[in-house]
Formats: sequence, structure tokens, C-alpha cells
Amino acid sequence: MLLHNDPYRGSGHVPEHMMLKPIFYEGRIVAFVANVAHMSEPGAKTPGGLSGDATEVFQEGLLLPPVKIKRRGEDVPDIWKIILANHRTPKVTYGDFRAMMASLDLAEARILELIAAHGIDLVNAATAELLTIAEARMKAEIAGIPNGVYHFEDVIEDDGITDRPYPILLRLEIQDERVIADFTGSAPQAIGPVNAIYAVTASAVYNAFLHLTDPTIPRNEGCYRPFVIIAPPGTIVNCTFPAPVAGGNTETSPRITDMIFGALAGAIPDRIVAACGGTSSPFLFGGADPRTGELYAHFHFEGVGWGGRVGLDGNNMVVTINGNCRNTPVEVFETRYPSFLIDAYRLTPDSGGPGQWRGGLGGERILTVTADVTVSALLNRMKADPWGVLGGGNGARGGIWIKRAGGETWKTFVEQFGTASPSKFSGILLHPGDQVRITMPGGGGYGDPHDRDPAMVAADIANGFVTAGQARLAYGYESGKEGADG
Amino acid sequence: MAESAPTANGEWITPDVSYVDPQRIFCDLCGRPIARRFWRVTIDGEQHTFCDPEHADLFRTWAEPTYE
Repeated sequence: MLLHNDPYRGSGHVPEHMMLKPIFYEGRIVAFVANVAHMSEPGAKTPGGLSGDATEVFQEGLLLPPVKIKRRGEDVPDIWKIILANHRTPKVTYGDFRAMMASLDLAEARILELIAAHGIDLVNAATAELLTIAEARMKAEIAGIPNGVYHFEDVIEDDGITDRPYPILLRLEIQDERVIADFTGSAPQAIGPVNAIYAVTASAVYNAFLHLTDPTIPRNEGCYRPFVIIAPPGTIVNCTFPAPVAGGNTETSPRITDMIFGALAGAIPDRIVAACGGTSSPFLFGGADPRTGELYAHFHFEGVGWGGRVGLDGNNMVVTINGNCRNTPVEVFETRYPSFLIDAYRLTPDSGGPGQWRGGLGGERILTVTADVTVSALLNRMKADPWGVLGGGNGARGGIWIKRAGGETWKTFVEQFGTASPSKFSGILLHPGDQVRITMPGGGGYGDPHDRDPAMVAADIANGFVTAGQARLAYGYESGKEGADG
Repeated sequence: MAESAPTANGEWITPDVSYVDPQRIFCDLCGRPIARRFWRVTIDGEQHTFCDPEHADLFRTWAEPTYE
């Protein structure tokens, strides 16, 4: 069984560990099964990894080229020792690795059952056929998009080291059944950790098209064959070793996915969506549990507003479009991570971009420190708005602030600690009584807000999603006109 | 590097893998890092590396006209 996490040999970023297991049948390898899991503590320079001011991949955690963590079904103890000695929370890593192994064992058993039931020749033929079917179906979907060359530009607003934006340029060409997504002209790779490796950029493009096409297309290599993705080496969308990459996965990836939607807004307006909050909002922290003395670490996500689309408002406070994480319940958070109490966790009125179909709401969380804790962050959409489409307004930006114990005012981390970026930093020690406030961006709106059904505006006011002031200014809404009491 | 017999259009090259030298090879069309082997083609007297013959064709028929 193989394990690796090196972004320059195929992982998305350092915390993501991939395991692969060959499946043998009658003495030869007939398949591989694999899975990927994000370790909450990869041995980076700060707890939880995703150090927002890393300047080399070496600072982002222990790098593992493909190594055998099991050989002929038995643990390789030296590999385990090296890994567990470098992670701050070895028990957690140990448990996660065992869970990954168990899932591969189960996958192996099921594939062998399939072969036993149908024979290896039929299984191989069916596998090839599945790839062909997926390719044909994806091509048919692409053929439904008007041929043409579409452009879009967006930006990663800073990199934690330099206070300057990194533009991403997209030239998207639809050629009958083929897509060429060309990022030529995008910014050179950043010094800080917002770079995407090639696989992340490709994955972000696929992600967009999987949202735009029939969700029943099998997700396999075949459905990606119609795509050519051009990402020049040495740029923010295809960085070269040893550039740091932690935020490529969490920040640059959703930006690229949104850019595909933006480029196609005029071509397929009934299928695209406005920009989402566009950040995984990584807020990482760790320290010693005052109850036990044991080290702990946590990668905390926040949800964001998603963009509006035809017929539906954006989701409120859901992890960004490339994510797969759930919202941690407050009670679980406070029980497992003894360094914080959560004082507030709520939606932010008016944070969704106005539109005929409104952007989803962002939110706010306020945490009070109860034990010394080291924090890091790698957030975006603090300086650049989540954009609306086809006349829709932009969603609200997010932010992160600090109030020291006994203090009166919220300050940015730049003001309080002199960080280069207000939203990307690492290794800052907070003490009991300090407070952190995080606000999450909203989604962009879709279509002219004046075309929104007044009854929906009234409902938004009643639900606290939109204030009466914004209803009047952005939507031209007058209370009572639709027969509802706003 | 191991080289296959050249064809009329190009040849497959399998580079040596070294954990001491982290140098990477990229496709001249798409920029993708080459993991195992690459397709080498000479165009206008200059050697190019590609993921496969299809990307070599696209380089000539799409990239060069688009960016000339």
C-alpha cells in the first residue's frame, strides 16, 4: 500500500494524503484503488498547516514521495515512525490513516467480488465501456454550448507576503465537442501560498463543467478527455517547485471555477451561477489542551454565500464550491477545541449580492479565547468582491479582526500584529480574553434586482436577510406594494 | 533517458527519475508536468516536449496560430 502527499508528485497540497492499493487477481495486478484525505495536522511550521505566510512548500508540512506504508499486507514501521514523529497530533493521523486503509480494503474486497461474479474479462470490458460512455456524454453536453471564444479575468487579492493582486486570465474556447481552457497571461507564481499546481487548476475547470452538465455522467477519466487545459509553468495556476501551494487548493481553485461560469454567462445564461464567496475561509489553530496537556490542532472552515442562478437564490453559508466539508456545530467545536468559546455565529444581512435571484448570505462568527492558542489564516475575498452576473450586484466581502483582552476596538491583524496581509498570516499567539471576529463573504446576485418579485423582497426583509434600506436602494422596493408588510 | 525508435513525427522519451534532482519537465502545449514519458518533436529546428502526439498536433494547429 502506497502513501504520498507531495504536491509536486500529484497531491493537491501537503495536508492531502493519498493512499493507493494494488489489487491482485490470479497473481497479477488488475486494478488500483485509491483515496485522499486531508490530515488536520501535517507537520507544517504552524499548527494545522495552511500557514498563510509560507514561502516554500517545505514550510507546509512533511513531504512524502510515494512510499510503501504497508508491504505485503504488513505495516512498514519506519515509515509510520517518521510520519508520526513529525505530526503534532500523531494519534489523529494514526486513526485517519487506519480509516483510509480500511476503506481501501473494502474497495478491494468489492472489486474481487465483482470479478468473482462476472469474470475479469467482463469487468475490464465494462470498465473501458464506462470511460467511453462518460466521454461521449460529456462531449454531447459540450456540443450544446455555442462555439466561441470567451474571456474572463479575476484576481487573488494578495499572497500573505506581498500586498499586491495576482490576476488570473482565462481564454475559454468551445470547439464543438472540445473545450480549451487557456490561462496564458496569468500572474507569475506568488511568493506566498496561493499557488495552484497544474492538477488543481485542471480540477477546478472540471468542477465548473460538472456543475454545468448532466450530473448523471459517470465521474471518471472519460468525462475529462474532451478538455485541454493550458496553464503555463511558473504561474499562479501552475507553479513550480518549491513554491508554497496550500491556498491553491482552498482559494485559487474556487476562483478558477467561478471564472468558467463568468466566461460563459452570455453563452448559457440559464445554466451559469454568479460568483460564490470564493474562499474556504481557512482559520487554523492549535496548542496544548489545558485539560490534558496533549497537543491539538484544527482546520476550521467557514461557509460562504453562493451565487444566485436562474430560478434560485444562492445558498447561505455553505463551504465554497470546491469544498466538501460540513459546518462544525458550535457544541462540538467548543467541546473538542478548548481554546475558544463562540460568542456569536449568524448570517449577515445584506451580504448577498442583490439580484433577480439574490446571492446567498455570508455570516459572522465571534470567538473568545479561553486558553493560549496559536492561530493562522488564509482567507480571500477581503479586498475583491464576489461578482454578480447579468446585472446582479456583488456580494459582500469578508474579513477577520482581533480585539485584545480588555480592548475596546476591533483591529485588523495588520494593525494589531503588523502582518503583511489582513487575511493571510500564521503563528500568532493569542491569550485568554482576546477575541477574533470572522466575517464570511456573500454570493453574487444574478440578474437585475429590480426584476425580483417584490414578494420575495418582502420575505427577505421578514427573514432578516435584507434590510429595509437595501430593499429600497438596491431593489427599488416599496413596502406594501406587493401586498406584503415589509 | 531511454528513447524509443523514432517515428516520422516524433518519439517517446522516458526520462530517468531521480529523487536527488527535482527538475521537472513540462508539456510545451499545456504546461502539465510530465510524470512518466513525453513525446519529443522537432518543430522548425527546435526540440519540443509534449504529453502526447495529440498535444504536439494542437501546438501546431491551435497554439501557434492563436499566439503567432
